[in-house]
Amino acid sequence: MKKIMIAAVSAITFGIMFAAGVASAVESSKPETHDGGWIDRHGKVSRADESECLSCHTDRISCIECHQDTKPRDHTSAYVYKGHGLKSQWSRESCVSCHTDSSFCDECHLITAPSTHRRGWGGNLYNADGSVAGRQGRHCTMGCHSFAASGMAVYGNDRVTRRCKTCHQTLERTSNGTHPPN
Amino acid sequence: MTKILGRYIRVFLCALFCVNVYALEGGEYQTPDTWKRHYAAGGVKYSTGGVNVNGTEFDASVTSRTAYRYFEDELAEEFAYLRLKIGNIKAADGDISFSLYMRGAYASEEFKLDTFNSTKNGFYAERKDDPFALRVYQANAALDEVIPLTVFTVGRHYISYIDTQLTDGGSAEVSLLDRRLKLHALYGLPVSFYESDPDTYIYGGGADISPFASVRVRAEYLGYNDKKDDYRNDVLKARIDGKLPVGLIYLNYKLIDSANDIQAGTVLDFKPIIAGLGGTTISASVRTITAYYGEKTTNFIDPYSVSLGQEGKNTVIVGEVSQGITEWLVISIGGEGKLISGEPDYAHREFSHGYASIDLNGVFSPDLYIKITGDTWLAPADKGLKEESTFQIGGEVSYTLEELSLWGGTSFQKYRYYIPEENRLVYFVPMLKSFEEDARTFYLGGEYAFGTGLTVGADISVTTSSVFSSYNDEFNDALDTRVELNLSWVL
Repeated sequence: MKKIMIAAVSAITFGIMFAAGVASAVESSKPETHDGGWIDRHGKVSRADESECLSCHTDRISCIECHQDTKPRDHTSAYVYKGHGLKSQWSRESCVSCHTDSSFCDECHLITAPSTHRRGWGGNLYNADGSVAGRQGRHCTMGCHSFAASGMAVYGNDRVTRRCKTCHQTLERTSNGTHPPN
Repeated sequence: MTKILGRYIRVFLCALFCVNVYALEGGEYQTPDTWKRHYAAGGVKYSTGGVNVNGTEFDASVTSRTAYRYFEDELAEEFAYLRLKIGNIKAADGDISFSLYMRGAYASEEFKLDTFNSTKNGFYAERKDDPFALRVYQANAALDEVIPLTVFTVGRHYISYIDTQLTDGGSAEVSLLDRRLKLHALYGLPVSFYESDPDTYIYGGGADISPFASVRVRAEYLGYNDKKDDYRNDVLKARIDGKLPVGLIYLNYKLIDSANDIQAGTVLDFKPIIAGLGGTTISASVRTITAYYGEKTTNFIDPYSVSLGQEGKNTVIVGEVSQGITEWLVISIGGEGKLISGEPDYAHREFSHGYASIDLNGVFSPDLYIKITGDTWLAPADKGLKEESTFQIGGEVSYTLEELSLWGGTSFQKYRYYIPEENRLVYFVPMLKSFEEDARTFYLGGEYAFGTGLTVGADISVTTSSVFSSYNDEFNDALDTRVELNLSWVL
């Protein structure tokens, strides 16, 4: 399948190249600054004098249409599944040009389970009588709790707890060691 | 594979040197309206169209974007945009205008998330209680110079004096000192399309003065008052912009509660100085956050502190250089790096990012544009954090005639990362499992303009990836296909 795809794209690409021998130049009304690198620079330049941009991009329609409703090409399903988490952790600035509202992140993370949350992930740390459960849910062992010599859990591990808090934004510990949902 | 690649390289080089090269006027070049990063029929046309009746402008446009996706099931979504504007209605010595821009969206039932372990989780999230996902981006009335030297705007509009914020409310501006000084004030509710009851309001004002033709100084105070959680963020902003013969420089300062956010940068554009060599564009910036925000910061200032936590002290340096080699070849190289203070964390860590691209415009035809890009991110190992990285290479070809645009492209992405092992603790230490996964994307598309009013476009993209196999072995090299059909009509 991959080879067929590569061959098809290559054939069409080179077909366009060789068929484009005779054509008339297309006049563009765009300013000369709007070159191949403009999409990376336009943000900084627009902040200096937005009125110049608005003379063509009236009412910010182009800005809204791109920044609000059109995904970049690299936002594939693989990116949604894994890549965006990596990049947002390293550089929030790369996201904020479009995702200005964190509720967008929350809306998905509150209802979307990551791949680690399979069968056996849940479960209680303690039994109903307060003893440590024999079959603890896997999530209990992710470092949110370290264990005292008695086997009782000691709550707190900022690094891992914060990773959980991406979705579980309220981590309140109850008396029997369970967490209420979200 | 090597032989096939070699064959393609030989054909490419032959085409490069065996076909007449078309010089472009003035050594400048403009690239097509369709970019690698986004696609929509009509482009800028539906913000510049319209008819003029006795000086009053009437603008109207309707855009329909329909997408079909094939992964496990067939999924469909539809976006429809409506834009209406009545502008330049004469009133006294000024103008009154009314603007409306809104969007509705529909998704088929399969989009809605259901079971805990559904593979659809992680691909899309749709609000279950909002089947039409209605958004009003603009709905306002503006009085421009109806009262001399003033501008009043009321309704849903973008407040943009230093930063931009969509707000339901009002803003007023008055010009003084022969229009070199502008004072403004504003009040309203910042708009969130996801939070149903944000209960935050914003108020403030500022000044904008140009002491010289090439210098602009702005200052602004904004207060964000969250009535629900009963706290307030005070934001003080200042900005200086200087126009240079070859570009601009800027200095931006924000004080958010007690945290300083300072950014300085430049964008420079040098014309060719050697005959036959292209121009040079340089952009660079440095940003420092000296202390992060307080215990509570409204979502409208810091969108990510809830899901990622507070970021901590850091400095980010960014730079890019684009050099025209000939009238049809531009090579660009860029990079950024982040330095942090304090204990690193998964969301507070150093990283480096490098990228490069080659632009070929008008090599085989004045209307043919080719772009090849590479991009790599690296977060090094540090105090218990493992090294993580991503890598991407890709290319795009676009061809534009007067009515017709065609494009195609491909990219390869690789992700390398760690997650806790899905086992019990061993000696109370989480075991980290390494993943290295990749994804390939191909896309083809085209757009045709019927006269000046109607544009029709279509785009298909296909992604194959091993990323999903870490979730479920059945999805090794899963295939994800998206077809998008767009119609755009402009009055």
